[in-house]
Amino acid sequence: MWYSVRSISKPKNLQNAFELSQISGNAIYGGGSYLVAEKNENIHTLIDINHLIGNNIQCSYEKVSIDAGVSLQQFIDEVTTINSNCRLLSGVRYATPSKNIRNQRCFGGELGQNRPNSDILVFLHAINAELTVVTKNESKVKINDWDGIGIIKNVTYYPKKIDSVEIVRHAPIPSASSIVCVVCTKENDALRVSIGGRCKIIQTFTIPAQDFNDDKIEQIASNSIKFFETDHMGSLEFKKLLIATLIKRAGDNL
Amino acid sequence: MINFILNGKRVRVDVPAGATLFDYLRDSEIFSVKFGSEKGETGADSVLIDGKLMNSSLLLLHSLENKSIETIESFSSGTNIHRLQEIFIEEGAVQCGYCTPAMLLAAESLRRENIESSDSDIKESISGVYCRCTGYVKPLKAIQKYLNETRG
Repeated sequence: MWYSVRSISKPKNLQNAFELSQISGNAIYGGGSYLVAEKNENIHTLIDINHLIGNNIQCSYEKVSIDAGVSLQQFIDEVTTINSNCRLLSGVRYATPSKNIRNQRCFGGELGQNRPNSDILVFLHAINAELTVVTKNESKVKINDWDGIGIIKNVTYYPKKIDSVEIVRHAPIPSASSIVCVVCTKENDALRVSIGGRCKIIQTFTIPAQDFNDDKIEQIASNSIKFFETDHMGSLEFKKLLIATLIKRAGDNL
Repeated sequence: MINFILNGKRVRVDVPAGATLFDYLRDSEIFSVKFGSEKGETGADSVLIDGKLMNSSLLLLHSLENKSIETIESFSSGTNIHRLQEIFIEEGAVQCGYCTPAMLLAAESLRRENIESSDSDIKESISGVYCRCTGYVKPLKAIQKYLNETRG
């Protein structure tokens, strides 16, 4: 029982839902797997948006478009059938090993939570996916430019524009969330490197492809380690080496 | 008021906004759905929602309007148990039994997907169900046997 919740409102549209979500003690309710698990006692009203968000997937070489209401398992089931080479698939599988939770968790929530240890988010940052976000208006914004405000309606990216993409991760066991996840993309002679894992934020670096060398890797690793901490998974020095190794591996494979 | 179908019967109830499906099932004396954690870590609280396995502790009852909810109670009647349950017994796939209802629902959910299932699909189907007794070997064997039988 989530005792602090006193009411659930069903707004008429997403603009209305956004306005309601700005009131203290209100929270957007989609799949609910994060929200209900947390049972934050400061929340007393849930804004149910399940009837307002779509659950369609479009996946081709030209365009990948995912509505916020698509569950992670729905994505795996449908995309494995229509395009098993879709690189986002592995990120979705690693987002949570539990099929139960993947059946419930939606893309909108995964993006809205903005967890740096979500391989999905690291991938979408590296590819600089386009979000359709609803505030008082509806607008399209690149994920790397998004300020975190608003309700996500859709995420879209264009695989055709990306020459190649490489995802590497390190976790104690394959089903665990990443200590470090690195995604590199190559686009028009530029490399984009996104780094996530057990850290505070996902960081993205863009460098000219010809500048990709050991010195640059060392520089990126040194800059990104500021957002990691020493913990039971390892020291900062270990994590810095890990980041550098993963960047090199991803970059070399592009 | 919220309307849904529980084990084939239409139900209309008035519950507090913060009530989870797990709370409701316990109040309704459906005890096959076990308490594991309130964070979805164990999967012992699994149910089928429109045929898909989900954690009842993570679902607010108010989000289940017009959904079909199934627990293992719908599989058997008195001493007449479901073939899947028989197979679990035959294969010795039950030890303490705490996670078994969730395992059975996971197996049934996979069968209904009606796709040819590899060993990895079976492992995937029970990936959200924590078992600390069996080591998974016998449940996997039992599920494989069930799928082979039901799919000919």
